[in-house]
Amino acid sequence: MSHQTLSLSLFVLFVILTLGITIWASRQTKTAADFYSAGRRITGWQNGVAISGDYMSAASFLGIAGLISLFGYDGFLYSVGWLVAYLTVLILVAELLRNSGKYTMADVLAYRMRQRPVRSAAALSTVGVSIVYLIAQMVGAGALVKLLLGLEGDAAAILAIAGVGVLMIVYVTFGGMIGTTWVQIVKAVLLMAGTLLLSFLVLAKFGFSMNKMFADAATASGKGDAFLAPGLRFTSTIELVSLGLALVLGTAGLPHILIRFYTVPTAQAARKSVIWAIGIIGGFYILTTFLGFGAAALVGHEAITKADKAGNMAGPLLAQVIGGGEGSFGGDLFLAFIAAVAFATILAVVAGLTITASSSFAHDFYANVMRRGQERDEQAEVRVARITALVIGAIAIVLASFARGQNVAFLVGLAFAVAASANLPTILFSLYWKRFTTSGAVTGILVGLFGSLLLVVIGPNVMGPKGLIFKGSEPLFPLENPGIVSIPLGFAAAWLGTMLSREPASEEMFEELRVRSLTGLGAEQAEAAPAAPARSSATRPSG
Amino acid sequence: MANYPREPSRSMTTGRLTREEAVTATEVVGKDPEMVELERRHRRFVWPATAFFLVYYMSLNVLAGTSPGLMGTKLFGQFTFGYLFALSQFLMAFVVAWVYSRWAATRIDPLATDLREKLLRQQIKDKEVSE
Repeated sequence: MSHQTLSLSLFVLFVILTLGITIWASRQTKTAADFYSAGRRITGWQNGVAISGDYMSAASFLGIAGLISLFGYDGFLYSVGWLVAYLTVLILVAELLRNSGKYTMADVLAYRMRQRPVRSAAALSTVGVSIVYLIAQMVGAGALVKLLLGLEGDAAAILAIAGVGVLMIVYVTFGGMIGTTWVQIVKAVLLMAGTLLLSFLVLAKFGFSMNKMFADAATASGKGDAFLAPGLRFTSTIELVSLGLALVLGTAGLPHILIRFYTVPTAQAARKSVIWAIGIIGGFYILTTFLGFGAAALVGHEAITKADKAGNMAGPLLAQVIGGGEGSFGGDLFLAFIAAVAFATILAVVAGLTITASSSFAHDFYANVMRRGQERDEQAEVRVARITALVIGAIAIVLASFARGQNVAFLVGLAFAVAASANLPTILFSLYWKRFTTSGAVTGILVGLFGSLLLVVIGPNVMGPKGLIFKGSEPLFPLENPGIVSIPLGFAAAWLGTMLSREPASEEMFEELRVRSLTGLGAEQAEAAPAAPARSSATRPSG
Repeated sequence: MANYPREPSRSMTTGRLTREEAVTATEVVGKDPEMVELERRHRRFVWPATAFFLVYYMSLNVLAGTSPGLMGTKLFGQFTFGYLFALSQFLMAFVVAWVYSRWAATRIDPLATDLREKLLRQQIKDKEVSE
């Protein structure tokens, strides 16, 4: 059996399995709380595994392995940043957010503000961050399918992206949050098992000597000792600091991670879920050492860049070599297995992102802004969320076809910069700054969102000789990751917008929010296990 | 996890507190010594801890940019200072997470639970008085 047939069979098997879970879950989805927050019945450890599943995306599995295999040490800096970022989530955000919100990130941002402007801005930035993140996932999925089916050329790459994108959007529109949570749990287990197995086999190839692995990788890379030191990918300290800030601050502004805390019953469970996530994600990122350096030593620079010039296929190719090489049964089997794991990885993340963005649009914009929060129609809201998922998916597919050929970890790094610039300032100021106002929240979100996006567009990856447009001229902004400029800009805009306005109501409600967020008084409750009938009477927000 | 006591229902759309809850909550802030103490403890841990891990983390990227030579120094075998420093970040994250959860369980949770139950009792009393 050729590796195409074999990998396709495994693929189909996996697709059927996850579709089954999704269909089962869609039968469990009865109320809006089910669709958005899985009825708040997910336990701490389940949520920890699901957060890991949400977080360890194509960037972590395909992107980082690729960067390490091509640039050595510098690629590992992504692993470190993406783990340490969870301390920001754990210490500053998770528990207070759980106690204060209900369905979306905007629940917390708009808590003590005027609802319509803040919810509109928050829905916009949620959709914006999610689309940038989705682009990266679809680029990874496209490269993967192209490799598996042995396709050549640009048209095939675009078709692969579109096909995978459509398939993924279908999952979300049916499964809702319960389905998504279970897809993520299944994926996290698969990914950890696959990575552990691959790492073990890599280490065995080197006689269980990491020392030999590093030495062979350095030699095979052609860079020698420089491969084990910083400098092959990043040469500028400012670029490194910019990336570091985006990675460590971005996670706490990622809507699809934040809303996972609404799926657990209490603040303590939210805390426990972050601790679980830190353990799982930390373990995984340490293993990226073996994927990356192993691929550098065993697959080699030329074969990696031939399959995908940004290195995204280093992990799957490593599996093929470990299994016995191209054309051997073992090689094809292991390649198919790792590719299926990567596919599951991407599917789960796309599901998480899409449901977050569509929930935010339906709940924040449709229900609270367009319908002004009156006479809540849960059916209509869920329907709007499903339509939004289709639209967002389509946009991401189109943009991803332009971004193909970029490293997936790099692309996700941009999403982190946007999240840290647009969302984090407003989240922190809402929770910790009494004086904060609606104007501050709106300017902070909009300036952070559009500022960071603009800096990416006029930066070296879109503009100039290495980019997509104006190839003849130099980029207007020198840094690849805009974090060092756009994050302070987001904070400054939120501060300035606040200082230029006054909002006594927000200051009064700050104390209420403090009591609620710190003690859990009035926090949303878990729903009883067989979903409670939807409550029909709705009161208007009292603000 | 312990279930919270049942409470009055609140706005379906925003999940804000009901008027009675909000009044009780607002009154208690700045007056109740337990709430003052809770805020003080939270502030005193959260900000120094954040400063610590941010400085420790950012020093990795700063050193990678400014001192590639130091980062590339081999301490034993092929293990460079840079790789070991990067690995130490994982250890740091695990330790900080563990310390935080210990701290929250012993210094925050009991106080927060006390306060929440006291506020709930207060609400019920207020309601009875007003009826």
